[in-house]
Amino acid sequence: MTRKEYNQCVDLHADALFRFILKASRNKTLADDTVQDSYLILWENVSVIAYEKAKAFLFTTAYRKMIDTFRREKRNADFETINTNAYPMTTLTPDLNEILEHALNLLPPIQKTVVLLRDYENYSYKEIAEITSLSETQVKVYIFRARHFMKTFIKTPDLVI
Amino acid sequence: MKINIRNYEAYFTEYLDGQLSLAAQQELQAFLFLHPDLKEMLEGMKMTKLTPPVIRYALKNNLKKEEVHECTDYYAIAWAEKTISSEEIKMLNHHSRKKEIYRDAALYDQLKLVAPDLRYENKKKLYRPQYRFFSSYFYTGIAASLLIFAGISLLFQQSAERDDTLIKTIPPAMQAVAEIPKNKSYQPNLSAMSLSRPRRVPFSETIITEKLSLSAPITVLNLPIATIPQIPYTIPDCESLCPMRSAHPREILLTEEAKVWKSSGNSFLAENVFSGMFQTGRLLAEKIKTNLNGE
Repeated sequence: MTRKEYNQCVDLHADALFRFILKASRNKTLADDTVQDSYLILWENVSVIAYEKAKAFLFTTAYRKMIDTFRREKRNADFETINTNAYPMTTLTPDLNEILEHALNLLPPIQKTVVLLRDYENYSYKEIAEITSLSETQVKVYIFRARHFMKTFIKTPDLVI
Repeated sequence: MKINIRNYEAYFTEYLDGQLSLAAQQELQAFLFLHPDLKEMLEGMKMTKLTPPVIRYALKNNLKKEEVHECTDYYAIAWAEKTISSEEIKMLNHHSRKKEIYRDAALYDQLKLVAPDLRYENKKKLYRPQYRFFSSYFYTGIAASLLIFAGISLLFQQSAERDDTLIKTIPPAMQAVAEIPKNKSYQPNLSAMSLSRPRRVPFSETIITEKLSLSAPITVLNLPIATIPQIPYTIPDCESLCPMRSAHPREILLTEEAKVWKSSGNSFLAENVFSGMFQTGRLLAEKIKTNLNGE
């Protein structure tokens, strides 16, 4: 990959990568650092990584750095447990997207990650499996559980839809 | 693998994403018919599809790499070596990695080696005297002169030998013999021939080369034998003695006996101008000499 292609990767994927980490971690500083670190690693391997593989490399690197940060900070130690009281709603009359965003924030990181990669980035199950080091079946199961939780969440009597 | 209660989640996900095949969809419908509670779970799940928000990463431009990022060492070394251009300095001064590059440049500057003051003691042996500049021409000239001298000597020697071999004088082969009477054995007078007496050879020791009738007497014919006191033997043709000459008959050679010009085939002499001139001069000299002797 050339410098020009690297810069094209910045143009094409930096926003998506930042969005993915920001939504997954809800931490702007962490997202900012993770994006910069990911692109730094990409630049260090610019001669090795093909342009077509750069996006997958960036998302894989960013995801792993985020998980490492979580583990180091001992935050979300249990990646599959739902923390219902973690993120309160910001508005009193939220629309569906906001409710889904809120439901998303309550998801365990692994489910949140696969749903974000699937819905935001339109990654295939196979690509998500490669990024998250899961099997395709695991990816599908996590996506279904996440969607089931979100559906259950938006149908709770406390929320007005 | 068929859909069952343990793996339905994966099938549901694919169904919601619209990635199930027709056969799998029919299989799923049959499964949902048997499990109405799961059918209820599946309903309304399509609402949970997230719409990606538009988020711009503000520091995107900082991630981009310029040429400086690609080869920071180049600018650092160029700075240390004082080969950096004014435009490059101007560009670096406005660059975010200016400090880093200048720090590297200072490091490269310290890496410059200082030449130690060493003297080569055998320097005098390396000097070359002036005559050695033309020594090669000098020796080449000597060698060429020697070669020319040797070539000329060889030519003179060859021409002298050829003169010797042109004319040979053969001593008389026979002496005059008196008339031999018929039906008598021949008895040469050896004393008259001033030759040593040969041994008489019995007839039995003689070698008969042809079939002869021994009963018939050998008759001696009274053949006149010419006596030649001295036979000058002249080489009839130079070409028969020197085959090389026939191939190159481009030169002429004057012999004493023939007094005519004959062709010569000495290709070596005819190949170059110098030898040709030399040969011509030599032949002219011989012709003059022969004419003087004839007069």
